[in-house]
Amino acid sequence: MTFGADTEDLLRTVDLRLDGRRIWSFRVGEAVSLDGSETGRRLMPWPRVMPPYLEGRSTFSLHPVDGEGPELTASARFGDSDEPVNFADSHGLGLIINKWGNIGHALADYPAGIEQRLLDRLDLIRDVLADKSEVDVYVTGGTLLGPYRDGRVMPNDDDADLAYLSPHSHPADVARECLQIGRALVAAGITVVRCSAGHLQLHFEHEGRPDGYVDIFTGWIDDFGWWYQLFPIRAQVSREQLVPPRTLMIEGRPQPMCREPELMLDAIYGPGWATPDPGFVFDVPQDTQDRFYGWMSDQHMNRTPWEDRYRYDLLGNRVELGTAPTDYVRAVADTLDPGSFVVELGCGRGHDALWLARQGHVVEALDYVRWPMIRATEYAAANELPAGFRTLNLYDPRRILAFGAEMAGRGMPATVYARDLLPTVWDVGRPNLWRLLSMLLRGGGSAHLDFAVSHSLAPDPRIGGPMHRILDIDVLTEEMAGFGLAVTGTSEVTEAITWPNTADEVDLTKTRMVVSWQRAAR
Amino acid sequence: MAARSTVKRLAGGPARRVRGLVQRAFVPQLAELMADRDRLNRELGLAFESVSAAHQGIADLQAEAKALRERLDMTLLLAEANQEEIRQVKAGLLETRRQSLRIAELADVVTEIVLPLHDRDIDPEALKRLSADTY
Repeated sequence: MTFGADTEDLLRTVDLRLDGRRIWSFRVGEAVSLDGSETGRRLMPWPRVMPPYLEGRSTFSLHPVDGEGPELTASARFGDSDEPVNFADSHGLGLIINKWGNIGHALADYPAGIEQRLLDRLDLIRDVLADKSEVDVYVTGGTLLGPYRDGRVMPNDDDADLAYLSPHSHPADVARECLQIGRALVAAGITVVRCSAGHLQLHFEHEGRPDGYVDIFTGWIDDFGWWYQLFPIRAQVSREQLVPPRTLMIEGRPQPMCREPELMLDAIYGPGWATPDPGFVFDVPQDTQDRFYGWMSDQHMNRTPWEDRYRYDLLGNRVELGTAPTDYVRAVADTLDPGSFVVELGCGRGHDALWLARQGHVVEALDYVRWPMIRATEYAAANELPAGFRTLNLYDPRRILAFGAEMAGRGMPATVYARDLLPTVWDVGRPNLWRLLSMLLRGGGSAHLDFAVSHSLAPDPRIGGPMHRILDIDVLTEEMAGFGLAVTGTSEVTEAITWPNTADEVDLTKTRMVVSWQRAAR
Repeated sequence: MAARSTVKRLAGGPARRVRGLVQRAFVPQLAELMADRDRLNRELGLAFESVSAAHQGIADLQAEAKALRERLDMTLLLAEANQEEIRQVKAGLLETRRQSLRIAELADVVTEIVLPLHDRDIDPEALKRLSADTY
């Protein structure tokens, strides 16, 4: 989109409104000048996730957040439709572009009463933590900032944020405590997504629809007086500055906040926290990021773009499940005995797994994104197919060991199938994959995995979208040898594939390899 | 000679009167000017001293800057020479931090998965044999 701006506008944040509803915020200075000058027309690209939704005719306006300056309004038509542009999810909930540049929801777009429902959930979560742990809980992030600064919940937020202060001072104890807290929350009937050993995301539904989520961030003070709180805080703070918590009234209800809230807000948002800035983005020092990554790892690794893919990919979700098997699964099926037991890793929507189940094979299919697992489970049940779907995160070694033990306990050989998994797994996750294969294949069977060798589609996901990169079979072979695995066969194929954020179908040269367990791991 | 004396005698009287008048009129200012001159001379001397001191200061600073530059160059050289070492230290730091997580994960696996899986197979006799190795 293009618009005119003056020099004094460059630091200004504007809301982009679609037919009057806020869908995005950005700083004017982020838009590129069309003639290289500070004044005149500027170009702001649409967020990369938005173009598929741009179909129809609507009014777009740029509204200065500070209320200064004119509001710019224009009508636009995308494609041939005269219907209004529908930027909403499959439940009809309006979507926004959040501060991460991803599609999300704003509290303002949920059904009425979302604030009270979120506060109910904060109470529930705090009750569980009070009952099952020794931590001190308080609101943080936007849930502290909005009510403390503005006296109300931030309408552009899409979640509620809780943090706690652990009684422990060593990261190993803090991590283990968070693992136990995750289990306690699951036992309380809450849907918990683990983003790291110190960050949980709790999801809720209302009337059958997703209804916002709550983040819980771990915090602790080490033996040297450094206060850590995922993911942006590292500061010299005493325990007495944080606890015991004080009371903050949010929408008329008492919630705990730390003793010196301005200290926390400064640590999270910087000294400018008192000035509203919807275009705010985090700028966490690298040495702080390194500490958290080392101590708490990252089990979300690329999951957000995949979640977005399965929640918001309009075209992909219209294809009936199990009706679009890939060439690879057909080739693998040719090698199977009737009624084989197949484990599919990284099954996505489950097309191949459901197709295999239709061929009479017993399938256990896994992915680390829960939305397609829920949908595929319902489809398999409705169609009485012998296919089970569940989430498994290759970045969580605890779940790998548990799942591997469970499968080994079945006492039957497994065929493992994983298409396009290796190119998407970060290096840190591959040892877990090899360990899982070594557990699954000890009773016999083989694994079928492929990877691109011609070129990468998305070598670095930090620029947007899930990773897909080339790999070297010599590296993989050497890694696998340490887990008692060996490549027993390879073939080269050319596949036409589409990938999130690649415009068109592209031809990739891939190596398909067959892996077996050869000996006990050293 | 006689003529010159005559002229001198004739003109001497008025000239003395004029000088007297000029002295009466300007001597205070003259004294003031001379005092100013003396003060300015002193200040000029001080200024020269200041300039000399400044020159010395600049010279000292230049020497210090030179020394700092040399130290900086040496530090940069050291840093460049130790890039590989720094990379190794950073990797080691990351690995050390990761060990914390691994300990937490393994402790979690043992208490939540391994022990519950095996508790039905625990042999009380085997437990009795697990005597403490220290007191």
